[in-house]
Amino acid sequence: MLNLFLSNPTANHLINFQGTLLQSIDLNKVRNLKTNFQPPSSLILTKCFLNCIKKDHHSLHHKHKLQNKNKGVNEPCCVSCEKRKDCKKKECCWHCDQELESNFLFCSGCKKLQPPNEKSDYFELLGVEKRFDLDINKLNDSFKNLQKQVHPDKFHFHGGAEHRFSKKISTNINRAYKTLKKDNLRAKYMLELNGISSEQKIIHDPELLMDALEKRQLIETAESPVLEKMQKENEKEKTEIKRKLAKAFLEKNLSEAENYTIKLQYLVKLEEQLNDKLF
Amino acid sequence: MLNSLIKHSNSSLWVKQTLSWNGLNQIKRFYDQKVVDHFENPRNVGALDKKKQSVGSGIVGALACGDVMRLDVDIDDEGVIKQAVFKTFGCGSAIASSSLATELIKGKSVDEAMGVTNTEIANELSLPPVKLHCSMLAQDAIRAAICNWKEKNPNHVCVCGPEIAMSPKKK
Repeated sequence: MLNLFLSNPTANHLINFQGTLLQSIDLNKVRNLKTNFQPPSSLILTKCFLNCIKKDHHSLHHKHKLQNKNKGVNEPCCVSCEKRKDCKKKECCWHCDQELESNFLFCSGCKKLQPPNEKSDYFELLGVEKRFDLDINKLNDSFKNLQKQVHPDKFHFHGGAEHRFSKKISTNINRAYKTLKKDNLRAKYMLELNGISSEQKIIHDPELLMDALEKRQLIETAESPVLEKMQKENEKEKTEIKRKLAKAFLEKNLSEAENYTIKLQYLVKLEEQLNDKLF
Repeated sequence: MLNSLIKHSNSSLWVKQTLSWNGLNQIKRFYDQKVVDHFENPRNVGALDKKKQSVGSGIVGALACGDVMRLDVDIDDEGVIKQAVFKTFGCGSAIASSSLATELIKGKSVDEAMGVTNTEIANELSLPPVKLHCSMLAQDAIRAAICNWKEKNPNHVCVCGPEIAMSPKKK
């Protein structure tokens, strides 16, 4: 049952409850649908009408669905309808069917935003070298440039599919950036990439832990000059550990990398506590 | 109580602001009442003299958050834990877990104390999933302390859990 009331009989555009612009639809085509309707004053769209409209939109814009049937491909595919997740054509643009380059964000042909690439890791996502001692400035620039391209605010009026993809991609990029920005998180992530999970790990090294405990006790009680001195020493130690950690990752020496990561985590925690106390 | 919780808590600025806006009843959404109680009134804070023969000291850390937990036990000749104290630097849940751990093992025999599990601690404090590793840490701290005591007193008969990693010897 369609209840369609058009305020302006010549209008080609239809607006749904949320105010998202639907694609232009030929009014004649709508009128040919089985219904009796009269155009009174206000604009109301019911849920079932929206579903019908969506189906039309679908077949209008996903021509490759029909093309594939002609080519004899068994599974009709459409990334944006997400019915077939194992679709073989995922490497092609969902809109214009052109082959996509690897690590794609946009189609080179029709320039439409593509679905997020689930296989790439954080380094590939942000386009930085896969090493511990990466250039932070380059990381920041890369992050900003990417968000300028894929932020959801840019895709509000581009249709549901691109908007959805942009939300996922933007979230992934944010997560990747947060992880790679901090030294301790980056180190732990790199260990994970090499198969060493650090989430549930409990450390039993008495030397390191006693030292950390004493220092944190000192932070609670000591005066500013002592704390500032501690800060400088901590900074020096951190730089040294980072250098060693970068070397360990390059040489693929994972056990050493793990040890240094643990030390780095405690140094970073100490730094945070010192900053809290001093500012 | 609310103010000190806000001041001492390890939580982010956003959480602190929310706590202060919404008042005391909001605390129940973030921390269970028992955790708050242990945080405000921690039992058995302190350290024992490690040089004493009857004292076992265990120290553990969590890599995920960079927290430290130290638990000392004083065990008498019959293998009963006379005294248990702790020192923890970490979040409210970690402090509460170690505080509860000391309460649980006091007066127990060494074997019984080794049987205290993270599930017990987590259930008692109603820890949310994201804080379950704190109870794991507390369990390991108990076992590390007892194993340290056992190293000092090898002749005393008791059962150590097989999965305990002994403190690595100094290189």
